[in-house]
Amino acid sequence: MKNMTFLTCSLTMCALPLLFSGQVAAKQTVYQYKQVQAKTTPQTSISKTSQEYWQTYSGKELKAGIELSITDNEPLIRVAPKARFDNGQVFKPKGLELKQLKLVDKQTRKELKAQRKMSQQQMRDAGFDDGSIALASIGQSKNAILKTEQALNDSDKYLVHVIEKRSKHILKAKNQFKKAHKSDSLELELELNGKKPKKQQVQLRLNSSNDEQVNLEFDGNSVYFDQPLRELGARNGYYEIEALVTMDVNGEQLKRSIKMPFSNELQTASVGSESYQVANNRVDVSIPVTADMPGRYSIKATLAERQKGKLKKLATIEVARHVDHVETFDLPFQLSKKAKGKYTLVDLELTDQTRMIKMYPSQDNSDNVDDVTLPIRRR
Amino acid sequence: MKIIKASIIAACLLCCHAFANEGVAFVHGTGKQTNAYDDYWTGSFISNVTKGLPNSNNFTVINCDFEQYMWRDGAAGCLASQLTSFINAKNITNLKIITHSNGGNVVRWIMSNPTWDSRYPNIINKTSRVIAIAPSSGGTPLADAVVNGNAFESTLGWLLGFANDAVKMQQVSWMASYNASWLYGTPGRPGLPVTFENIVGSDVDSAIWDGDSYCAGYQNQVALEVTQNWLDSCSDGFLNCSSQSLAGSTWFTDKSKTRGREPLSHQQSRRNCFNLPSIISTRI
Repeated sequence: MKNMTFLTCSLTMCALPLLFSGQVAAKQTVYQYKQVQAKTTPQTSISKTSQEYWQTYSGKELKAGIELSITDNEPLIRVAPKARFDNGQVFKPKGLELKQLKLVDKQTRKELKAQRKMSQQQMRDAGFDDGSIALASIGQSKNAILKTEQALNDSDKYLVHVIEKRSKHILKAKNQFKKAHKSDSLELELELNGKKPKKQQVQLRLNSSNDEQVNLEFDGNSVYFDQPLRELGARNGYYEIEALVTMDVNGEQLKRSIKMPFSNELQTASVGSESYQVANNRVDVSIPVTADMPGRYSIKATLAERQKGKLKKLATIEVARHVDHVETFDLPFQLSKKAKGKYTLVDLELTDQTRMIKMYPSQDNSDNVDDVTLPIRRR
Repeated sequence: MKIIKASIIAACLLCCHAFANEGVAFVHGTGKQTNAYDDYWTGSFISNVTKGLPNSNNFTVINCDFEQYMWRDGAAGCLASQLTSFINAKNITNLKIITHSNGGNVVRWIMSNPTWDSRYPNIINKTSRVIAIAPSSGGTPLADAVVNGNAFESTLGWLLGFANDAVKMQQVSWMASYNASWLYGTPGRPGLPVTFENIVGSDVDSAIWDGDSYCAGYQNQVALEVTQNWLDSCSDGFLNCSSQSLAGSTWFTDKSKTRGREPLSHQQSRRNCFNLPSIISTRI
């Protein structure tokens, strides 16, 4: 009894975290949270707004002059050379000369004076190390044409980026955050000044970590992909749908760009039925995990006791290990005292750490609302 | 029996405190550092912070590649390796971590994903506090601005030295997604297992007649005029205050404690400006 008391004291005051976490069983990494963790819910959508647009033009177009869409008296117009990849080499066009970049009025062809001109060095100081230069605060300039007198190569590409922080014209977008790998579509809502753009008013492109060439189509509610995406999960960053919306509002041409991130996901593993072993204040829960794709997986779960129809959460643990095909995860819950009711697991979260995919079970024994989007398949 | 129990508990508590060995780790922000002591923090910042330690030699300055995504081996893996070496070499039992900018995200990755790496549980259990100076917890619209229209270039970031993965990661919507699925400590998400408190930079003093503007070399008013096109009125010139205070709790906003109630720009908050390191030293 004295020994037990001493052990309890030592565990509680000095070495509790050390005993409960770390490498308990070979190949497993175990961490028991100091406090019961709240249930996490999956992200289903993402919403953004935009008061800016960007477009790519050729050196030839910049020399001839390009019409800008400006609705704000104090826009910032950034121009940056864009790289191109040719025969295994990266080429970057020559830097732009600020003195030769001008804004002229479309009707009068008179030069519009910018209150500020930012050189490459000044833009670099602001974090733009891509050779950008910029013009700012150009006043009433709804008919502005941007042109350069610099001898640019016709085929070189330049980015023109117009930022209108004070504009009342705002593009709102909302998209489904998780795209099922087997699906060829992703929900996307766009709204400019409260109006949905028609599909011909929207240009889309896919941004990916590996420059995948996938054509996109928009039907006003969803984006359709003409081929499957290669990346699974968030390990190499998110995919993005980049949209350029062009609409006429009260005779004015409005342009807005936006990028919406999403993750391409697949259920890569499933869990089986758990079994319980109870010894004093310790509850060992075993759960088989079957992986469709080998990798490192983790299970996070909260142990609860069911008493008189109510669930009381006792402790949260997370366990990770490599799974080639089927492995049993051992969750060694250490409790401050033995529970009186029947044990059950709630708030189960299965993570594919190799590909960065979160999966959530649809649990009959949970006291929470079933609000999952990617349920774990139970075998 | 009760007396024995009480004595054992008291002795146990006493022994834990008596033998606690405190240490501090300095974790830099975005960038690939090889000499963060001189290049990122400067010796005067570090020495003024570590004077608050019982043993002022118990500190380490992390040098990792935080141009990568926070979960990569070169980022969180490298951080875990250096923290583990420090804990083992100095027998640290009470670790305080001081981060700047994106360093807060990398530390939060470790605290939020305890089984990602077998070294993480020990680091979490040894850490008692994270002081996050100007953390980019909610990302920055400037990261969006740099990447916008340059998706192709950013896939070639390693070639062009431009818009690396850490910059992409700190776009506002990307950080919102990481906060919603992968990181703890933001509203509506589980709390972090360790105290995570922020120092928020709220303004940039860039008047050319004000000598304070020149601490840490921030004197480029034009740069600020550019970045203000994306930022809120409350920002440190790189991050909105809302981003800096999104995760954990806010310890203080610059002017409430700095000498002369000076604001801390993003550059100044990692340098020996306006008594900041001495303020931090009282917290460790």
